[in-house]
Amino acid sequence: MLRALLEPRNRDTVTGDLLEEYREVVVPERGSFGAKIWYIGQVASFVTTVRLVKASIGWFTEGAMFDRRAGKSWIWLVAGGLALVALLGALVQSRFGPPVPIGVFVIVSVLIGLFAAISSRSGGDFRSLWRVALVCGILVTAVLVIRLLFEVLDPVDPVERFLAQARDDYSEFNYPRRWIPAAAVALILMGGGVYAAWRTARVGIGTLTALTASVFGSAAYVALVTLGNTLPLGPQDPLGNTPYDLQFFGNVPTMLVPILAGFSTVLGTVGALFGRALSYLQAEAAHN
Amino acid sequence: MADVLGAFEQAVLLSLVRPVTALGKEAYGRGVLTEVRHRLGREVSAGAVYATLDRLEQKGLISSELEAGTAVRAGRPRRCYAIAAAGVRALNDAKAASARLYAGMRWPLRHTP
Repeated sequence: MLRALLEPRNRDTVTGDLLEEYREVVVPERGSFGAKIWYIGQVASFVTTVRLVKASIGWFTEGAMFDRRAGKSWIWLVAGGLALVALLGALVQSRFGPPVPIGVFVIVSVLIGLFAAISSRSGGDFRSLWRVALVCGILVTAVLVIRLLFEVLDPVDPVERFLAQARDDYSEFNYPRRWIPAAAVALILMGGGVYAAWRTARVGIGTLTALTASVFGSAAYVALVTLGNTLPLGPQDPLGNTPYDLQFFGNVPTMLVPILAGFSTVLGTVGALFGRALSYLQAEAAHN
Repeated sequence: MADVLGAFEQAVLLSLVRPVTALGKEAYGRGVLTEVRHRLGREVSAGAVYATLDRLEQKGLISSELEAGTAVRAGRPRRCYAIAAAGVRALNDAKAASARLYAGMRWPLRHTP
């Protein structure tokens, strides 16, 4: 009941505070029965009309009921495992190309982002995790820059690549220079989601952390490419485009930002499910 | 000067400025609760303190950060609070407003029918 009465951002911190007081002070002073009475009194102090109305709404919109049962880490492990298997399955089926049409991709990623934002509601939790997002963003930029350097220093013939992609048996998996950076970025974003959700026990914060990391990382990369394009460096590629043309995103890969942001919501959420499981596993281990 | 702080809000803010209890110095929710109880010298409800902390944070008078939980709290994170520059200004304003309110009074006040 207390969890349902609290804002999502306060559920773990406030119940943790009360649990601490309960174990350290109240039980030794008042005994088990007295401590239970004390706890009921504490819960009652949180009851206001506004909170009751909000809790009733939250019951449906935020899954407060599910949240309450979430102490069982296996639920989150299973959810994370299923999400990861579904994601990998879709990627294998599409031969590591886009697994769903762009329209579906946009709708799914926007919905996930919205749910994450609504479930967090306050920027308070996220403020303490911006460093994680920044570190992950820097790592993303580093991977993208390394990929770009390969493209610039050892360019692939774009005509050959285009013809290869047109073949029925084309698979991204046959081109390590394309899938290894993509996999590295995916692992970084999932890692950000795992860490953030582990620290806050909130899946939504994991999703938002990965999303922010992707925006940091890709925006920094776009800025670097824009800067690079102004410099008279590097060889021209066979089609006579500017040296830093990646043949996919255009001379200045601005579309990378929304595309990576979309992927980050999915990857961050998958990571966050494991992060939340980790958080509860840790709590359960400490409790036992 | 924006809206003047209430007495309870001042007690919560002051508990972050100069805590005297060991728990209060840790400045997380339970610490603030202990400190406010000590400062006011009476029992205060947890709900009132947490609601005030939320309200002060929404006003930008304090900020908070999450810290990792400990075993005794089953690993649940702690939210640690710190007073913001706006919070210090608000306390100064509240003190000045109070001083203006009581200016010219002679203490102790006497009832003169």
